[in-house]
Amino acid sequence: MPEMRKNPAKAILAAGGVVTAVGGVYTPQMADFVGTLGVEGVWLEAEHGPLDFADIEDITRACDLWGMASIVRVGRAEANTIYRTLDCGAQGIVVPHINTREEAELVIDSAKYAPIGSRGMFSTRQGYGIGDYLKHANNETFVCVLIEDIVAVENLDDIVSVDNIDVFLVAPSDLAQSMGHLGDVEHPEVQAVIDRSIQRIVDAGRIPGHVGRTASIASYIQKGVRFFNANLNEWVTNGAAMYTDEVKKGVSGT
Amino acid sequence: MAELRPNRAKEKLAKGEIVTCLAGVDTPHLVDFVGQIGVDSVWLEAEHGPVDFEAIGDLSRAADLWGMTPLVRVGSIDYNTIYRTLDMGAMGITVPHVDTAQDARDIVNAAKYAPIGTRGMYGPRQSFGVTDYVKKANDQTMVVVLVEDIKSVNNLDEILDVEHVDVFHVAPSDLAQSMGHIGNDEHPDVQRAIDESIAKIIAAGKTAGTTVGAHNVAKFRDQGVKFFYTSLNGWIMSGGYEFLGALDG
Repeated sequence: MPEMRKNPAKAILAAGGVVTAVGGVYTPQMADFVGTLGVEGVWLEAEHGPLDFADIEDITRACDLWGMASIVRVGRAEANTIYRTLDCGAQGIVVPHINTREEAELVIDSAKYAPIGSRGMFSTRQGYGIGDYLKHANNETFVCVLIEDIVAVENLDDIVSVDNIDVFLVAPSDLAQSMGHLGDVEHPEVQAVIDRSIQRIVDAGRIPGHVGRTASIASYIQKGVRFFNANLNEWVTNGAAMYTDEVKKGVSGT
Repeated sequence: MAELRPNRAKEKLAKGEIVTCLAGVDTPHLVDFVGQIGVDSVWLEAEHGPVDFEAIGDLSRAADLWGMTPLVRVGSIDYNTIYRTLDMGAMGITVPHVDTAQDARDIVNAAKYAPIGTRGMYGPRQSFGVTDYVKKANDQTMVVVLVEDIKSVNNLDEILDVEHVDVFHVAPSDLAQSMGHIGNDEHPDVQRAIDESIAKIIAAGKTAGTTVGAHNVAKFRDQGVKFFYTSLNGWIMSGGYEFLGALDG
């Protein structure tokens, strides 16, 4: 009997490390290739993106091959959506717009088996061949909630008191919108709320998350952030800029 | 950097061990599920079945997860078909209707890089993250040829002389058809041709394969066959009959 596949995001966070889950990966072939880059996880998009339930198996298998955590952002805090996503093979979920303690508790209840929660029973893909799957599943299931509304910031003390949530990710774009600063995440009020929220999460002994951008990631690690949602599009853009710069150098002869 | 994934079927054959190959698992979900059963390889069907090039990535990844060797039966002895199948992630090919030594040489040429063959150059899926892939790939790539025409049986000595073929697989149904006994694999002439071909393959120091079910796998094991194709359909039917029988009993 094989052992249950480890969740690298859970293991690295437990060891005090930093985890990046890269978004913008939309096909199994891309996930397989991204595996060569050494990133800890892949962020699969079902809140805004094209990921249907039928897509989850193939794309999470590609992640499993490389030992990358497969983390799906679901569309809402809804029990069946959450456990069906996990049943199809995701190692973790991200749930948007968690604004109250009750919403955070519903997420945990849906994602964890008894005695923690009441996740629906089924023979899940990650359980194939695992004799004692039900005893290990909770430990290998990653849960991240998004703090992305000003009301969530107001309720943050309540939300961070909910157990079994691995990461509280402060997401800037929706937060800025909810503060009346649509499209202006750099607004000082928004940035101040982000920094204060990260600090409150750290002070509560929990793990904050944030978006991972090349230019700012080091500073957020210094602030205590240990989980990042990076974006493959930024990596492609940066790589393309390096390439075109070299073309220009070649043409100009410098 | 990652190591080249081992080919379980090829490694076991090299040690003289028996290899099981399960067909009828042409969706990634099924491949993943049967991984826990412990078969050595899966036979993905592109000669008769639904496995298009685009499907090979997902199917072979599911096999890789369990260390099962993903083999694809291609439709014909075609240079591009063979190496494109491997490029998508198959670790081996099985090729139907190999009737002459030249057929077998064409297959090896398409499936192996230089200096053995001239497989087309690309960044295949199995190469992701592997340094020096093209120098290692030939050792990973498995070639199975099907002996399934009476012409092939008659040319078997020369076919067996072709190097770098891992398995010479004697397939009964088409063989029976080619001998004028369509649908009658059990005809004594057909069975004799199968038995004699297997004996000849083994006598040449090569690896013999054949198509079996639970009813005859032990017989062929005792004849020295090392590669066994069987179909999930047979397992589903026996399980289904057992269930319905238990209901009636």
